[in-house]
Amino acid sequence: MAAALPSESERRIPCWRCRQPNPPAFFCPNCEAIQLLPSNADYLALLGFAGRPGIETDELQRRYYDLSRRLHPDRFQTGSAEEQRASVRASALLNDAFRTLKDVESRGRWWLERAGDSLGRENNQVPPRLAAEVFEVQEKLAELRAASGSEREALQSETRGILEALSSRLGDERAAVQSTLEEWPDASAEEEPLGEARSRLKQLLSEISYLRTLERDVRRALEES
Amino acid sequence: MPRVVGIDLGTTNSLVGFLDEDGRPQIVPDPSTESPLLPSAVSRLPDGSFLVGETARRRAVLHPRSSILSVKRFMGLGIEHVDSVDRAQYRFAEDAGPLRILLDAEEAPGTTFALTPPEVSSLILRELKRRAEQAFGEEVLRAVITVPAYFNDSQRQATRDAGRLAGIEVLRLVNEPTAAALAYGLDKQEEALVAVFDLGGGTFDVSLLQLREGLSEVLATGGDTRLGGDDFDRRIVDHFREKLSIEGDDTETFALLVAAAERAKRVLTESPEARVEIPLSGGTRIATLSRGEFTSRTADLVERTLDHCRRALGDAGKSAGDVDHVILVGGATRMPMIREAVKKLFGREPYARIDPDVVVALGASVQAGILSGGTKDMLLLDVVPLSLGIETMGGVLTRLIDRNTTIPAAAREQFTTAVDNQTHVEVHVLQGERELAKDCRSLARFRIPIPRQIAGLPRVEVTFLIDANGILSVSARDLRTNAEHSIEVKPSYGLTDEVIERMLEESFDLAEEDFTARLLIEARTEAETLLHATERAVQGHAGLLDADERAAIDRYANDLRAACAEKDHNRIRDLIEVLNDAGRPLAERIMNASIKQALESKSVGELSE
Repeated sequence: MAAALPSESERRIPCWRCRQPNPPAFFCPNCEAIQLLPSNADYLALLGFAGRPGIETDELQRRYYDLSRRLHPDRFQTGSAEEQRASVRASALLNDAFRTLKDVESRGRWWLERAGDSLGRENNQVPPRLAAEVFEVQEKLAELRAASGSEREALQSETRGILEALSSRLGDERAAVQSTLEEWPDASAEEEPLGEARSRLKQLLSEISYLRTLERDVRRALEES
Repeated sequence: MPRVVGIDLGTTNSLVGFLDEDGRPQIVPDPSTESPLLPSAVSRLPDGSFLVGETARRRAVLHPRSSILSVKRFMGLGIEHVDSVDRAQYRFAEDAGPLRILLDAEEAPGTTFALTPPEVSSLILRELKRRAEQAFGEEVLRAVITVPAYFNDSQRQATRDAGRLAGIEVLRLVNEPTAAALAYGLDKQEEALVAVFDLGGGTFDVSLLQLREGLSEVLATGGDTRLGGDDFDRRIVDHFREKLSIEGDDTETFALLVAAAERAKRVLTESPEARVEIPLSGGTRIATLSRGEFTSRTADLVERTLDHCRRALGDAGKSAGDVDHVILVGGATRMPMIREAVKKLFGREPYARIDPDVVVALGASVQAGILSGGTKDMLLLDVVPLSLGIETMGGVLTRLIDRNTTIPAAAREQFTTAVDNQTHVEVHVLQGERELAKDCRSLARFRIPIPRQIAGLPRVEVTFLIDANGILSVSARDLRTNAEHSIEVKPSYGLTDEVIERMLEESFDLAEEDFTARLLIEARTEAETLLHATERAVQGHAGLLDADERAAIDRYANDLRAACAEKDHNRIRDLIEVLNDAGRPLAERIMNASIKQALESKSVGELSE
């Protein structure tokens, strides 16, 4: 599945102006014309990070701003109709790429899909590693809903502690996603390490998604108490 | 390259500017009054031509039914968006589609004349265009126009249509707060988080901008297209009505009360209490308003602005303390309690170095300079202000592009058929943050043509593209044949190309094409206002005049009427002065009598409590 990646980035598209076939890029390396790219172009490759999902966000931002300056429709106000059209589409693609890549979770999700896998639609199953914790939290919330008086106050402060623990847990998981992406085996690696990386990423992302739901429930229970 | 101008098409006032040879933005003032502002007022004369600006604003007091103020409030709306307050001020055609405002056709008494908001705005734009052309000595064909960041697609389309009707190519619609940041030159800062608090006449916007090395990125915007200085005026009007027990709700009384409210508001920016005269038909009344009363009457309005600020901060993932600069925009930010509230929320003194009335136009001029190729080191990255989606099963809104997404932005959605041989799919595009389609603003409907096939087999991909102006376009592609389908989008409240073409052909005349004719119309309008006021004062307070004074006033009034029938604007101006002088003692006596009456009624009121 991951083998689909290199062929995608090797696909060549003829430049609309000089007709030279190029791999997907915002500008034609031959005549420098702004290119009309397919909407499924590889975000990482477009920003010069081909195959390296563990990007550093500061560097991503620098490249995004630099490309924005060159691609934005403001720059093509006096250009031809083709250039203006290409500029709107290229800017939309760049904005989408940046939005997807700057957040580690959405980048992880995109990368997983790119690798031919996805989280799937039903995310309500409790990830095994979280089972005990989730059970404890749900029980505490049930107690909180039933409690009154001084007991409720004690439970409220306990629940606030849970909320803090949850957000620090989320932070840890996000960091783990980042390091998983940084250590991603390169495309030429064996199927086994690739498979391991994929299932680790998938596990982390589904845990994060579950923790978010839990965090929302806890916050709501606190507000209602 | 021909000049590109920057235009602030405001609710209350509009301005036009440009970037000069030294790269500094400049406003083109009115050639006769030197005022940078053009009141966004339009009034239809009995001959069918239109007055725009200050004279129209003044004419509106006596001819409210043939005049329109604050047309921007109605841009891109339908009849179902008009509320009771608007209905108290204007009349509308009740049919669906783009809103039409009805004006009295004074040349044919008893009949009305309908105008769409883009047509009204185009008259204002033509006046600005003319102002700029006079100053440059060359034709102006292209412009950058600012819009509230909160404007939805229909409202943006309507603004662009207004430009087209005025013979102006709108190169870019820029969000007003973004323009304000450009005017302050904050884009040249190393790195800063800027909050722009824009309380105009009819709209409120707040935006958070991240500035970095000449690049200005909008992180979040929020606001309300129905909250502005006018709402504060209306609260003062309510206050005056209550305090003075004024019952009349005819348009003239309302206009006089609004004018008095505006004066009171202005006084309160300087002093703790305002005392204003209201020249009502039953006699001049004196009303008072203290800062305390004003503050408590409008506390909820102020709170609403702060709520939008908090929400924008939340959307951007920032807290009030992260903000490095706060910029105030819009005349209504002169109100002291607004400044206090903003200062308290952000914990810092807001910027007000540039006149809040002109700051947006200056920024639009900078952007005009950028687009004409004059400045290469700056770039604006704007966002879409409202989520865009389509109606799906059960009337639910499926979001395709989230609010605050950087533009240009694109989204794709695949469509298929539910029954065999279905020939098209209906798509309803909406904008808004609510879950249900019926709670969001309808933008357009269109049909995707589909080849006859077994249900579920066709695959058509529709691309929704939002350009750098925040305006939507739609294209469709058959994924099996790769053929592009053209799609005709029917805007829910906008004007179709066909209608615009027709409007261009029927285009209205602006009054006073030449300068002298214009001076004459202005003088006549002023004379008419003065004659009306004088007549009313003389009738209502006959006891305050002796016979000689009365005779003099009548004679001068007759002279002025006679002069108005002629074409010498200088003579009209002179006679206006003369009549004003003759009426001054009367005005003073009325004033004194009113104060006395106000004091008396106050003590009676206090005794009875």
